[in-house]
Amino acid sequence: MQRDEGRGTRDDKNNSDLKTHHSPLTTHHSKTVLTFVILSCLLLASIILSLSYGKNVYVTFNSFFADEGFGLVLRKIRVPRTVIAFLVGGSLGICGVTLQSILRNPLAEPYTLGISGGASLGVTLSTVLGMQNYLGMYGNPLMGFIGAMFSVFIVYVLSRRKLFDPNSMVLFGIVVSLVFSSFVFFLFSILDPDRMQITLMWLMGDLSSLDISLVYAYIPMFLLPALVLFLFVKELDILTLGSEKAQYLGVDPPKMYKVLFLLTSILTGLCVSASGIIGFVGLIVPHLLRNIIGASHTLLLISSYIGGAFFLIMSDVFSRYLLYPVELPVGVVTGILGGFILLFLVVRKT
Amino acid sequence: MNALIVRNQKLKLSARRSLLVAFYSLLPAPYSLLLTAYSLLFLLCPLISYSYERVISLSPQITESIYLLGAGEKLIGVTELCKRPKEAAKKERIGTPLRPDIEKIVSLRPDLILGTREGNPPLAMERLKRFGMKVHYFVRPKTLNDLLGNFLILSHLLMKDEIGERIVSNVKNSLDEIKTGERYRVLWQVGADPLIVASDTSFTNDIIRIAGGINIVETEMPYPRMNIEEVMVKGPQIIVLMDMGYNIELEMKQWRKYLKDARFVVMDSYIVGSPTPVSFLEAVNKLAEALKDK
Amino acid sequence: MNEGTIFSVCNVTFSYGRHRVLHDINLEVKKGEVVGIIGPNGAGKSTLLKLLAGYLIPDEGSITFLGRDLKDYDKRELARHMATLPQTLDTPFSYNVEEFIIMGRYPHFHKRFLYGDEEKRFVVGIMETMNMNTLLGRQLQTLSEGERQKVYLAQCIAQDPGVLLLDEPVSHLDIKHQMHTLEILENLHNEGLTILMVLHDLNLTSEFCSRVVLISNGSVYADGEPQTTLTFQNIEGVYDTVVIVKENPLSKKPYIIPVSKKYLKKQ
Repeated sequence: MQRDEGRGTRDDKNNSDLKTHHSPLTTHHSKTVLTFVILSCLLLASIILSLSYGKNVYVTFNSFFADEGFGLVLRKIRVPRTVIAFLVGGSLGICGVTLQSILRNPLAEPYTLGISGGASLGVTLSTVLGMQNYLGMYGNPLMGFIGAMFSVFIVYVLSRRKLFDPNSMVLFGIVVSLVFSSFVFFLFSILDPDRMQITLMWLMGDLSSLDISLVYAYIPMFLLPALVLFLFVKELDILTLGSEKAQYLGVDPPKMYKVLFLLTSILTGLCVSASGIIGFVGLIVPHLLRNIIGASHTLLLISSYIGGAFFLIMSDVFSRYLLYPVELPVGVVTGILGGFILLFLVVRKT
Repeated sequence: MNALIVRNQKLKLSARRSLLVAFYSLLPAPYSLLLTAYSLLFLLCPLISYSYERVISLSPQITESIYLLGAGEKLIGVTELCKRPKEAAKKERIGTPLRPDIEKIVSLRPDLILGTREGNPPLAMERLKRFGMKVHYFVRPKTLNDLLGNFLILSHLLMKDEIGERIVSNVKNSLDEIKTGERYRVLWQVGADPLIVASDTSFTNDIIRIAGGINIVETEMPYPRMNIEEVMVKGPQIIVLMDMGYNIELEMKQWRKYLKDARFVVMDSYIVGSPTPVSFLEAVNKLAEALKDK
Repeated sequence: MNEGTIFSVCNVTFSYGRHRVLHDINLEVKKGEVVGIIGPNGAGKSTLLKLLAGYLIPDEGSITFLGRDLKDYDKRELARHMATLPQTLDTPFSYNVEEFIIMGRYPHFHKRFLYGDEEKRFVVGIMETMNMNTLLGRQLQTLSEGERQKVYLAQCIAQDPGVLLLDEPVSHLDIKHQMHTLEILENLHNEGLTILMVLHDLNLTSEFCSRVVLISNGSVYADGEPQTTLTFQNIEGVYDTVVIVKENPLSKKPYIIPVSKKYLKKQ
């Protein structure tokens, strides 16, 4: 382009200006560094709380390697639980951000694409068919994930014709989820109510059911799609401008929607298979952080991961110890906490 | 408490009778003859319908109890879930406890329908009443005495009082004979993933108590969702597992990781949902055996 | 077709479903032109722009851009040469001005994860040139219409394009911002940018465009310099409104005065 000569002089002129300007790029920088530090501290504190509730931190560290008593509790119960809360909370956070950006709707959340129906059906079928007899403790999580992926597949095939237009995807997702949920209710109605009671409670969110070996298997499965999602930070920014302008900026919307849709579906499917349906995390955390940090995804995405992990770990601590020894379903706690926060935000706006 | 109800019902009837006699004796002659004729008719009716011959059971425990009382031939309809005893499988099916087939029930022309307040939908029961059916509700037992009381009422309704009382006293005696030594810590697991247990305020707790165990879970709620940490802290010596939709071997494997010395007892899920005095006794014996072996 | 041709539109027809919007369009745009596309509402102006931008694909005919068929361009490559500003651009989320403008660097950005200092410098440079320093650090949603339009334009410029396509860039602005924006575009043109814009105001078109394309009922009604295209016959034929065309004393370009019906009666 012939305008290169113009470009050159402009740059030289500004190098000096850059130093005299208190570039807002740097003040923005410091504000976000601060938010980052605060969030990370909160996360760390919540992890420590989750691991050492009831005992002081010193004892906790010492007990880590003890063979019985608290050490056993720590290693076999609290650590897997905290790790899963971290992974699920973080994943729900970034899935929420991604979906809100793709759909250009600050109230979207991970289950908008219809994962919940399929996962519920998977888990219910697993109980009905006695999958635990064949697959042991991997039965329910695996079937839940398969169910989720099956509903994703159907939504994918349906969305292809519409070039993965996000609003159509949401519509298909809702319909598919409803259809699967109906199957679940059908199964509930014809089968032994005792067995179904258990599935119902799991679907309200349960972070306790996983063995530590399963948790180890989950770690890479959760982290990989999340890391890939982080690579699309720039594209996510552009997609919030709508699919037409995104195209003008060089992004290929159908391809992007497809990739992002797949990544979020896999992550959400993993979340539901590991811990049931835990709502509000994917809605509240991104929504709140957008107001504080702004919409730029470079910061928003990683903050949402940390924020989501923190929110879920804290909710889990509440669910474990509020009515000790009775345990509340963690989905109920996130629902109530999240509901109050949302209410507060709405009231403040008006 | 339930013995009182039975006695009250008997009293009401005798009071009614004595009033009638008094009224009758004060009337002048021709009227008393007319009245005698009518009264005979009216007196005979309750006598006839007082013996229920076409009974429908809307609950597995009621079905099982009816057979225990030897009144199985009076049963003309049972639910899909009524699997004990095996003879019940031959009876006509009238839906499930939660979804009774109203039309089928009415078409069978029962003279007594037996259900439970918690296990059957109240709306369906009301509809049956409006069809002119006689419906009797049992209340879910909270203690052993409740259970035995229900059983006695049932025996009275089916005119099997002697058999009923015999069974109840046998069960009571057998239970009294169980000697308990040192009390062992017991965890009664109702559900897995999430962990749901029977606490000391549940009906199931009576089994534990009489068998000589002590429930490690003490909460207001009868069947709470339990934090696993609490279980590990209290360290139960016996864990009762039930055939309630979770995989028993899997649970045993999981528990052994934390509690190496725990012993397991497997119970039928009927115990929690549909107990009869006899099944109660079986459960207590099974648990007591396990505790004794320690 | 020679070196200086940017766009070559041959026999293009386009329909939205069954509704035919453009019919047999032939057009050639050369380097350095400032083309104003005008016409009544619903004539097909926006559609033409979208076709040129590569967002829509013609049903019949072909569009060539820089010697290659427009369809064959990879979206990212196209964005390096051409920047398009649609009629409405909104985002429900609040970016600040720099974050917004830096998105324009995306087509040129390869392989690295986050935008670097070079990109940030670019953005500051553009803002300096366009006199936007007062907007530094502001949130997009807090800006006025005119200021926001500047930011949108800056984002397009950040793409470092050779061609700029704009769909009604000034229709909703007050006169100050209208002039301001068009003057910025004029400066850019002087630096070598080829500009195509859909405009509503006939006089602004006359002032700022070197060439006017008048679209009516899906075809090109007139195409040429403002003096030859913006005649009262053409305008009355297309807009069905009586006008008087005079000459702007300063620029010597046509100046269109609409005539209200009440004055016609008196004649």
